[in-house]
Amino acid sequence: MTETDVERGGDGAGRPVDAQSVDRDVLVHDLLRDTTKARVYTAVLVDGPIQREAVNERIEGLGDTTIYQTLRELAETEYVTVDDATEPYEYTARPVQTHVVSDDGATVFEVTPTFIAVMSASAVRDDIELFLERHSIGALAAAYEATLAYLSGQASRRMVVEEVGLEPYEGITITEEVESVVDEMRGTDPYLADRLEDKAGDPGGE
Amino acid sequence: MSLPPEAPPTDPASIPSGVVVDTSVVSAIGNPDAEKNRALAKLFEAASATACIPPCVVDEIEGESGRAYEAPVRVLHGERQGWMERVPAFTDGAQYRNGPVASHVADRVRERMADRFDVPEHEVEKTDTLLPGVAVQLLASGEYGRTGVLIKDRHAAEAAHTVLENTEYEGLIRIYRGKPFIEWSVDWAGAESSSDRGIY
Repeated sequence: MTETDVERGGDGAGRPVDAQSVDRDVLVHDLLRDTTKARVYTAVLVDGPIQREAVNERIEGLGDTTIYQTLRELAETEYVTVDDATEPYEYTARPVQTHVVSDDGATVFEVTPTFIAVMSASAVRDDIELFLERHSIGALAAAYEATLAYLSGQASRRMVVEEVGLEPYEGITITEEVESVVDEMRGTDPYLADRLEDKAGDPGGE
Repeated sequence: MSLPPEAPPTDPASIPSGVVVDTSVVSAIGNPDAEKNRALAKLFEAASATACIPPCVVDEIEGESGRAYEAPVRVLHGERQGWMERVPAFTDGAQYRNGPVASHVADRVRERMADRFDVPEHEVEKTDTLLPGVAVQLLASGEYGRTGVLIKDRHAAEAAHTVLENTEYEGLIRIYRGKPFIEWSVDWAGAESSSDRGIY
């Protein structure tokens, strides 16, 4: 049987498409673009296993139907599982991880649960929301990396702000917001500890 | 290894009467009706202390992005309530007793931070180095018995603390890290929770 183009893979190198990887990336892109999805995912990841009712109670301002629909959509992906042996069902999420690569294949940004949590927090924190109105998701990714550089002792807060080209007030504000999301995610995001390791040997954190 | 910066206050009476407040703190406390902002206002009032805002901080707050995030109203409101006050920049030769002059303190902080991060001194942001100099100026003015600096940057706080210890100013100028200070003030003010607005 001859291989189809799809089976041979879109890169033309003859490798079969890794459908799972593609699905995974699509979900992460959804989480970046859809704040509602990011909120529900983050709630399930941080507090799961969790029942639908509890998600309803914890997320303010989203209707029951929206939350239920979002949970169902998420449960169709490999990142969220629903345990139907329990009644009512319990949802559990796995940490997402995907890499944004440049044209030459180098990783320019790693999307992890904490960055999704920052996107999620933009729904409840005015300063993150305003930052996204004034800039792009890419600029938020740069500010996120800058915050990790500050927290891991590579530079002062103002130095990292200057490095990403933000005005002092806005840079200070967004790094403080990211920092408090990081604090909330320390116990949940398995990829965070490595990034926060202090290069100079003193304990991480503000 | 130097001592860490001052622990958060143990009671309002331990807070110096003039505390130089950084932009990072004005940003962190939120709008005038936010829990942290109200807690800090209450604490400074109880301590009979003034949150002193120097020109380098005013410039950042009143810059384009500061205005976009509605930061200036926080200072206006604090001034109206009486716990915030704009103070002048330091004069280079400002000095209290035999302590190092203000400009020397700023230079030493810059050197220390440049050394800490292994960068040329001009890459160290100026405001971080100026705040301890302003604290010297306030002390020299005679208006404040003790002064302090409150900044939400552990590296800048550590550098200022290290430069001031073993000088005339040790015990007279306190360096506070913003996060534990603000958390303590929220607890002290008896607010229901000190948590941020959550992440989802």
